[in-house]
Amino acid sequence: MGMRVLVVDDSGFMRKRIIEELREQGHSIVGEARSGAEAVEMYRTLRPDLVTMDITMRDKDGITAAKEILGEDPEASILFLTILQEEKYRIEAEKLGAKGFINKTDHQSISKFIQEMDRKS
Amino acid sequence: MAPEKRKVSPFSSGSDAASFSGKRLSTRNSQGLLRRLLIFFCLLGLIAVGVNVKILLDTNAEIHRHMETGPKEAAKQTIGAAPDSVATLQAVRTRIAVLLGTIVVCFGFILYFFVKRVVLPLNRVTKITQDMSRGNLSVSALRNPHGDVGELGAALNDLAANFQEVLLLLGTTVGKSSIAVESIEKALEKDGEVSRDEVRKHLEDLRKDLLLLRSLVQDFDFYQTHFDGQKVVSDNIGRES
Repeated sequence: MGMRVLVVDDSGFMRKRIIEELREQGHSIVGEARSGAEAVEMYRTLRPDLVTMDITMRDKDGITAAKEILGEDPEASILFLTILQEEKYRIEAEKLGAKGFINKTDHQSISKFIQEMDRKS
Repeated sequence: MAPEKRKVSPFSSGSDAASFSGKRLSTRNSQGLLRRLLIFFCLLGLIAVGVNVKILLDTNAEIHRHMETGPKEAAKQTIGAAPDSVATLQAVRTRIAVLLGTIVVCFGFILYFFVKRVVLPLNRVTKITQDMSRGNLSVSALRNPHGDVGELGAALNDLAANFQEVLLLLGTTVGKSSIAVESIEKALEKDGEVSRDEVRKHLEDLRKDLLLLRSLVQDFDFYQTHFDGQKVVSDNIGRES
């Protein structure tokens, strides 16, 4: 079926890698945001099925952006993709109601997770 | 007095001094260009104002001559001058004064916006680029990437984010690989039989890390070289295209 995904990452090459991976799986990319502020704005207009969210970004970090998105739409599906593997961020993500927290280099886990989400939806 | 310590970049090469002097040169060049542009603008403005002031003064003098000697006498004294009345000359003087005022105001606005929208952001981007090239990736080019230099600032932010991402991935991968190597060493140091499965598991982790690093490097394009998956290969260096 494929999901409509909004990719949020401040690194252009990392967005490219994530997008390629998602497209290979048959998902469509509805938007790319390079900061937390852009992500919130784009979510309001695009209403994607899934948001892949980086944590460390310049003007507004991923946790803050996710809080705002989930504050406006508690049904939003947010998947944190990050290099930060500290437990405190994982706990914070869980508390927020994010769908997952995966190392962005672990492509297998990302694919498996999104396929699972797609099947459930 | 102790010499001031300069922060040494982890990215600087042996030709550090040369690269730093190159940076100083480029800053001087960009600042010199900005200064030249500002001088050019000021000169243009001064010429426009000067011409107007000259015309204004001439007209004023003509009016005074008319008032002192009478229009007919003034027309005789001024070669080729039309026998304009004092009222007409005064109207011309008013128009020139208004024109002069308009030029001064416009020039002020242009100068203000040029400095605000181009000179100051460009100076900031130049300074931040220098900081980034010295290894400080935490600096942000522009918080609000709009305006004339906004796109440049946004591209610079993206570049720094890419670099940061690669370095953090590199650090994470090296950290994981070190743990795997230590575990293999410990397994080999154990008395008695070596657990093949344990070693195989750690080797598999190492292989994954190396594959990640390889795919990461292959995602980039390089000048004059490329990474073929195992080594760096040059692309026709010294040959004409």
